[in-house]
Amino acid sequence: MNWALRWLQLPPDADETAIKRSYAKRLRQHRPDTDPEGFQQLHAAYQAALAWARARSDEDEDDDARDAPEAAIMAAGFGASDGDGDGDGADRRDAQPKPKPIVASATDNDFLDTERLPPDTDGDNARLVQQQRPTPPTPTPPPAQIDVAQPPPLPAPDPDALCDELLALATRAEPQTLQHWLERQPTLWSLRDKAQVGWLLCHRLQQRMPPIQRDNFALLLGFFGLDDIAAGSAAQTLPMLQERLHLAWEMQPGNAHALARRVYPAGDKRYRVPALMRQLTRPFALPQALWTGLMPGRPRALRQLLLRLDQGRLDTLPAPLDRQQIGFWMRATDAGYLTRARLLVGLARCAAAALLLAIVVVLATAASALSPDTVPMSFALSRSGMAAVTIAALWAAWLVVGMLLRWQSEPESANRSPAPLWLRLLFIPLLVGIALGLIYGAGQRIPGSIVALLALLLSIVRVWRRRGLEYRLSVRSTWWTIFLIPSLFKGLLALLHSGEIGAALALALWSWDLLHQRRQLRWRRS
Amino acid sequence: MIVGIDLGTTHSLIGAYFEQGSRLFPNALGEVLTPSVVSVDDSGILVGQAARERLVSHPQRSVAAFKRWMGSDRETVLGEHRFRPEELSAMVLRSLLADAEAALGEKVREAVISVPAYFSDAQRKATRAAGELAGIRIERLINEPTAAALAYGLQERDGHGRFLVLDLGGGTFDVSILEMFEGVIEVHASAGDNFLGGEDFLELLLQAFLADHALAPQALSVQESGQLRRRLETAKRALSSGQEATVQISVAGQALHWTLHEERFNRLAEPLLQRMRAPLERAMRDARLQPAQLDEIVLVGGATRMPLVAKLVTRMFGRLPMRHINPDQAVALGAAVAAGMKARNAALEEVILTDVCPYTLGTEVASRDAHGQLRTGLFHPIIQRNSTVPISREDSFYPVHDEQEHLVIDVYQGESPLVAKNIKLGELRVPLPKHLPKAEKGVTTRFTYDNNGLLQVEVTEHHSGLKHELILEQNPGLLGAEQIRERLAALQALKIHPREQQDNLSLLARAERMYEEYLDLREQIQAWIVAFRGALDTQDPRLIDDHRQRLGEALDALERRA
Repeated sequence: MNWALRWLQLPPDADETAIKRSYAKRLRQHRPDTDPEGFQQLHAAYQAALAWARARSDEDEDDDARDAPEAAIMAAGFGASDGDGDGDGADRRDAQPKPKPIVASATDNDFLDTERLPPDTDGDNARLVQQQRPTPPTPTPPPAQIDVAQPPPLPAPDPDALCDELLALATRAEPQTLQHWLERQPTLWSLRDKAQVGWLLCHRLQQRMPPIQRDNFALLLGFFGLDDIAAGSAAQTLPMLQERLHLAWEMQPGNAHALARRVYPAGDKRYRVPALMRQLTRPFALPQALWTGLMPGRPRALRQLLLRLDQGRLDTLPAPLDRQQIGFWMRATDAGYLTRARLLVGLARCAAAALLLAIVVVLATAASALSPDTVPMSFALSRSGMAAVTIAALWAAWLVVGMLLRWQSEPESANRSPAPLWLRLLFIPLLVGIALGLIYGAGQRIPGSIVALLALLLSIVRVWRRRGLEYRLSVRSTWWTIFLIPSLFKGLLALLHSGEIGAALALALWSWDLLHQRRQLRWRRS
Repeated sequence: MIVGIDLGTTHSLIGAYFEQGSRLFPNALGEVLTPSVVSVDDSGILVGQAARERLVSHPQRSVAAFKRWMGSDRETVLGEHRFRPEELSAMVLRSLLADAEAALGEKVREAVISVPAYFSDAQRKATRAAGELAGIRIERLINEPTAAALAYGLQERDGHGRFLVLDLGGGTFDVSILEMFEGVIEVHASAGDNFLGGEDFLELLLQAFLADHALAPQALSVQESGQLRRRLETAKRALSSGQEATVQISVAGQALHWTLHEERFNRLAEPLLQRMRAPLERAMRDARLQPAQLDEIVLVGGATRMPLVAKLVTRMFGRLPMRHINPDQAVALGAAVAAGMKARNAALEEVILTDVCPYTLGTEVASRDAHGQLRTGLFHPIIQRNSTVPISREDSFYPVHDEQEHLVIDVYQGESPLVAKNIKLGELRVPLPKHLPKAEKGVTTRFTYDNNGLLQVEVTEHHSGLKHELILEQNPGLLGAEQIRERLAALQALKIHPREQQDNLSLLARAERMYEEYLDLREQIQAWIVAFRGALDTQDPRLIDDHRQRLGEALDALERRA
């Protein structure tokens, strides 16, 4: 038997009236203002007893077919502690209310003027009859008796269809339009129907995740009371959806301008967003991607856009974006890593550059055929071939140097390449050793100096990146740099001749970096 | 004797409970409704009808509808005085108390004041401060819809049934769902909007008028704008009993004529009616009731005379609302009943009232979501809204990181799942021991909300059993005890015109107002004013009474003609 009924000294089959009477009697001894503790206990027992009695009457209802409205819990099951299961149950078990007359009794003399019953502009009064009948989604029990003098009831409102219509409107309309529509919907004036639609909406938003902009989403939540702490678990999960759905909405083809406004608030690069989005949403095809990659700056712009879309999170970008496109462009622009995408794009660019060069040379040769110094075509073609190979070699060197730079200047704790740690640590001294060997051992001064220069470059960049230094381009610094360029050039030439200086500088910088990193190295070892 | 006071946005009333039932005390002009308007003149402070007239004639020295500013810091400048909203309310309270003392023949020391159910903590404290500044003790604040229900239930229903009380006053909108049985009045749910009232409907009409005549609000002088508001208020009331109303006013020398149809008013008021839906729905949802389970829907508050409100109720609930009880007086009558209950009036021994707290109270937490990401700024409720008070609930909280040195328990009031949208009432920092894992460094927080709307927070550390208490007095916008004493002294130094002079002053003020309004009759009105002042100077009571009566009739005749 229920503890509350025992506490109130009531029999197990006590009904609501008996519970209330017992509560009222005990309330005289435990008044809220004089005995707060006793009152709280009494009230808790009262609530528990009532809940028990109601639950019992719900069970009996299927057997008894009573038409008392005591079991009517709110149709949407919005109780704070109740989950979705109760919502379903309440829907099915919604009791029928006693049919009440619309016009109040004539005995009230101070009553509102009955002639001033609001004019029936929207058929509201006819609908009033409708609203008194329950409309559960499952097979209905026989309808309540309606006075024949009343107009025939309108067709039952269909919450499913209404919810679908609502979602469709929310995805494409402006907030003002949506608000206007919601406020005018006749079905949503009925408390029960509105709660039902609200619950359905909550369910569908989580299931289907339609693209809805932020303002519309907030409007929907506010209108159906789903942004309320008392709305239960919906209140916790729905706000998280808001950003995701807004992002999905921004991805829609028509909304590129809104996306551009958010991603580039300064406004300078907004114009290219529609084209970039078109590229990212079309299905991936390698030839088309390589063709796009030929455009200077396009791969980098795509990368920048992708990173700005959702604060760098790439796994959860929503549907219209093609996953393969995202993967390809991120890999193609990953500086310092050798990926298939990057290789392909680079090769394509080299090939295009070579082709362009060849065309220019051929045209120039053909043009020179008209002048006295004719250059034979074969010579021109061979020269352009060599130039193409040089371009490719330069690009390959650029790739390799980039990889080396990235490898050397990554923070000590991160190591994503397959090479062993000790190699990374000692790479620069190794290079210095090779350089000195070349200069002194093999007598090749220039190649040795070049290797020493490479070691110097690696150590400079390593120190630069690891210290997190930045070089801000301001007017004054630009002037200084221009003044310094000739001296830099002279310094470079000097270094080329005497690789020792370069080697020494490289070693110095390397050891300085080592000193700073020793704590992390110790940690790695342990 | 404890009195009950309804301190409203537009009108205030005072009453007490006697053997026969609640009775309201009339003011010096014989009315139970005293306008909540304060005005300053050369010799002191005026409250009530006289001050209301002076809203038109001396707009820089008069102020109305200051209930909306309670709980905030806003200062009003009247002449050379600066007043806070609590002080303005205190002046109204003093005037009401003078009326009560004149009727009772004894000094009043304690009162029960009604506040909107949806008033925040700060607003309630400001109301108490106003009582202190008026020189009385306020131990109990009663929610306005509950007061109306008290009045209605005891008078009409013999205390049985479930009903919804819809209170649309001058400045606030409150909804309460109550149940009465066996002498118990139980509030199930409360909701409302503190910025929705009759004044807002008036504002709509003002905007429409200005738009129709293509006038900017600055184009009207302060007198004209005051006059326009009075005329629009009359028009709005006329619409409650007719289909159409007209407003005639001369602005900047031009005579303007404006007709308002009921249709148009309904269309204009649509956004406000839409705002009224949300509290009604929320209250029903929290009470877990269907419209068919309500026995009555009761309308309270002057603004519910508008047929719009009845129409809204009909659309939402499928039935017509009732208004058996005078909508202007219901709350005050109920407050008087509550005062009687507090005074343990024998006739009310059998009635017990339980109320609810209108806001959810909780604290800020962080939690890890499914992806392991930490989300901060979440609101964790400890006391759900519309729980019966007094209530005490506790919950345990743990630090997020092992190395945390403090645990901050903030107290928030509101309904949003994110604390950013809720109101912060205070915070408590609990120092944590350093060398324990986070699972052992928890605290238990207990929130206790009592009958008078005061929240106590007590935090107990798990490992040591130490208790910390939070005193929620540090609201920045409110007056501390020191300041109240200072302001009390300052207010007592101010002279409020005594009750006996109210009728003369009010008539003078009315004459001055009409002087402003009727430009073509100014000379005549001026002559009358001078004559009346002369009569007042003679201090001959019979002469003054005679003069007053004749002047009153003359002014009435003038208003009828115009």
